[in-house]
Amino acid sequence: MASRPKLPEGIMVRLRSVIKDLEAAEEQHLDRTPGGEIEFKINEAEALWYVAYKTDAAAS
Amino acid sequence: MSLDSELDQQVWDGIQSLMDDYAQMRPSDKIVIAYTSDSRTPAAWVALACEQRAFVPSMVPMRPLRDAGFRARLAEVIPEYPSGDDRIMLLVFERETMSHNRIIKSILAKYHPDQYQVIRAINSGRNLFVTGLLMKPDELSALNTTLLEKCRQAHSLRIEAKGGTRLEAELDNQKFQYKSSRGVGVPGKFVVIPAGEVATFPKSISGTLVADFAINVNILLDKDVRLATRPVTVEIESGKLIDFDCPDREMRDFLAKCFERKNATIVGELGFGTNKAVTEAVFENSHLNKRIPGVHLGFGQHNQTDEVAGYICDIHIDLCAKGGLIWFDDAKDPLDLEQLTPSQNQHPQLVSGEDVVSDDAEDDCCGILR
Repeated sequence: MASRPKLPEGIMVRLRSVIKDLEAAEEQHLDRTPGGEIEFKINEAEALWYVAYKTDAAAS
Repeated sequence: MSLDSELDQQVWDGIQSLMDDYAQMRPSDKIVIAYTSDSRTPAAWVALACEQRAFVPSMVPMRPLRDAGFRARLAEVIPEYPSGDDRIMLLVFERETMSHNRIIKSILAKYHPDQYQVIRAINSGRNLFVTGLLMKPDELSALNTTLLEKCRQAHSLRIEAKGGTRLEAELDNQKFQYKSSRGVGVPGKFVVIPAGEVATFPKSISGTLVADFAINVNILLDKDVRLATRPVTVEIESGKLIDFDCPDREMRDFLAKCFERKNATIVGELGFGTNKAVTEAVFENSHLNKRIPGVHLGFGQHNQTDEVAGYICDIHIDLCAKGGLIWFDDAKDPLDLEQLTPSQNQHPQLVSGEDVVSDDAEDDCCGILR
């Protein structure tokens, strides 16, 4: 790993810009799309600190 | 530590490893980065690294598990017809899930398997890059080969670990396939990271597992999963959990609830981690923890086809022990999982890898990709 490129200086500014763009794209696309919640609780009657998620296989 | 300040040289090195060693990016690659919102920042890190190399990645946001618009969004950035030597490099980042597998497969079906590569990251975040990508795929592949060469010739195993694990297992290498998570791109297959594991389904297994490293569960779990100070002791008979205990009440209650699920007490996976970069358990629920060189058992959902395993389960609970010695059949000397010697031989073709239907089977240690 010694020959890996150095983290470019000033990259945090660009990172914040990229993240801002991604947030805007998500707002544009995802907020108009139904579904996508991870909603399956392993046991709804129990404490809420663990929640099962379903895979594509289980959802189909 | 804020999310963007997590991007330091260590993370950057891991991203370079992803690009060079795992993806083996070429200048002509068309880079597509799909991500769920919980992995926005890691996706942005990788996008930045791509920019540094003059790639212009297409960014595709997605919702986890269900997203009616994802197919259209992804299809929009995947060229209708591949041209020349161009290759689609699809990098998918999620924190807790592995979503939309079938959609990705169907969109890429028009391409020859040599014309695309899909790398799916679960538990995307700093630890994935700093630890999970430290070992190169060829290193993992050589270690996995060592294990596979031994396991595939064996009928029975005796496994012991320092924490108190004592297990005896029988294998059926004709019936049950092996999974080899090694980060190596094989045409038509998806690579899952973090990698570093060999796993199968035991024909039978009995004894005691003392999980003294971590648990990994395919559910959302916002708790410390480390077990060093509160190991979970499991008694197993004929492939089923018959009793377990843990000194930590909260962990014990949580596991009790998990094991109440239908078929969750069945040992669905006998796994051996091979990623030597994983030495300390991470706090969060993560596949990284099951890559520790050592033995782990996955309870509940299996890593075979449902027909072969004979059951299904909606939960998969990995209980991981650190280290382990394996005696194969009547061998006098054990194989030390923490001191594996890389094999000089080619990684064997896995039976699952020859099945064109299960084109992601090689890397899916937990049976969660379908």
